[in-house]
Amino acid sequence: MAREDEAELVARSLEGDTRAYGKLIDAHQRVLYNLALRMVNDLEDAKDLTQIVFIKAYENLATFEPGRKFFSWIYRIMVNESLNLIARRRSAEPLDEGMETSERGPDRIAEANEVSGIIQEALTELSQDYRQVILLRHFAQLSHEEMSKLLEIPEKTVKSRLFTARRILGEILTKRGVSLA
Amino acid sequence: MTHDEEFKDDRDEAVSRSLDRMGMVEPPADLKSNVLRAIDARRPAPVRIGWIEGLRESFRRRPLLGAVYPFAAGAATAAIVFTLLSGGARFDRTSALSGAMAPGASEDAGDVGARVDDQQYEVNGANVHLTAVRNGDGVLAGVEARSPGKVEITLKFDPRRLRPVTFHQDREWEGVLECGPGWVRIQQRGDVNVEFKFDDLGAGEAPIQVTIEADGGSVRGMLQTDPV
Repeated sequence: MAREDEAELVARSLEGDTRAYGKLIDAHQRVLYNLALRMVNDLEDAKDLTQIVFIKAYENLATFEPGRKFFSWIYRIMVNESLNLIARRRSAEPLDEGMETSERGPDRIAEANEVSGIIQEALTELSQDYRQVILLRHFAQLSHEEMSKLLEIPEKTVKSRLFTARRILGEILTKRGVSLA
Repeated sequence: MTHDEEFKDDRDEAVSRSLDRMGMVEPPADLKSNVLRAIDARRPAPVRIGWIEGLRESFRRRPLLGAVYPFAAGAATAAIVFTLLSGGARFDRTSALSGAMAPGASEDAGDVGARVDDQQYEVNGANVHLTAVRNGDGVLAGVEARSPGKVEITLKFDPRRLRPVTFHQDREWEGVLECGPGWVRIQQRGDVNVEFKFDDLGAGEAPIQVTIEADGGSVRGMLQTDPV
């Protein structure tokens, strides 16, 4: 969604037009929900977290600067809320076996879920900084430049952090018997 | 996703491929509706009903508008359009009144109050004068525009802080009043001299953003509602 369109939807939302805010939800809920899922490793918590983030964003919409990307702004809210949630919740539970995935055939889902579960567990072992760059790159599909702006760190740091994060992740996966060939 | 340029070795690329294979999980179908319901439920009650009702009442009950405010039936038509917002008020979409308002100051304007802001603007031949007067827990926001053509005036405010209670105009008029949570707008032709009274619901600064559009041009102003 173009930045101008987002600014218009935000302006209309501020005037009380909840349909406009619904369009912002439509545009961002998939990515935010997946980020939440990878952050908290629990389907119900991910749903709660995403809902809380959208509600908090609405309540603070007046602080959104129209020149910014809505995703960058709401992502910061998500990071803060995920840290709050992680701090207060019970220890993480594994993802449901029956988790619905997209873009894959049914014959590969069981095997993929098993590997995905291991990767998901491994992600939770990464530090916040490393997990963040992995999530933004692989689940939000952001470019290095976009990540640099969002995280307010140099692009060079983004690349090196991403490389280190994947190296640590690779070591964890190898120890757990996941073939990386 | 193509990462070729960013991998330092095969292992790096393999981990990246494993991550990409995880795919995306579809969000729960009721996520959006849950959010919108929660937003609707959390909206402050005065915004949902109170202040819009208050505006409507200000047309219905003459004492609120001042002692010299006879409605002369059949003289002019004032169409009051209440914008229906999703999750917002649920009463009549449109109320039409027939009447004319004789010139005169509102009761509130006559009370002793401290002027906290006073600004002048000019746009495309339209001269605009904005004032804010504070009287206890109330704020009077005055907008006077002299323009040869159509004028549209929009006031935006924090509905958690300011609640419009009355609307006052000092002459016969034919125009439209629209309002929603956090904003009110009037449209009419020619000169405009209007005044909104707000109840101040909290503490701290609560500026009112004013936008005036006339003959294709526009000017924006900010009215402070507290003494500097």
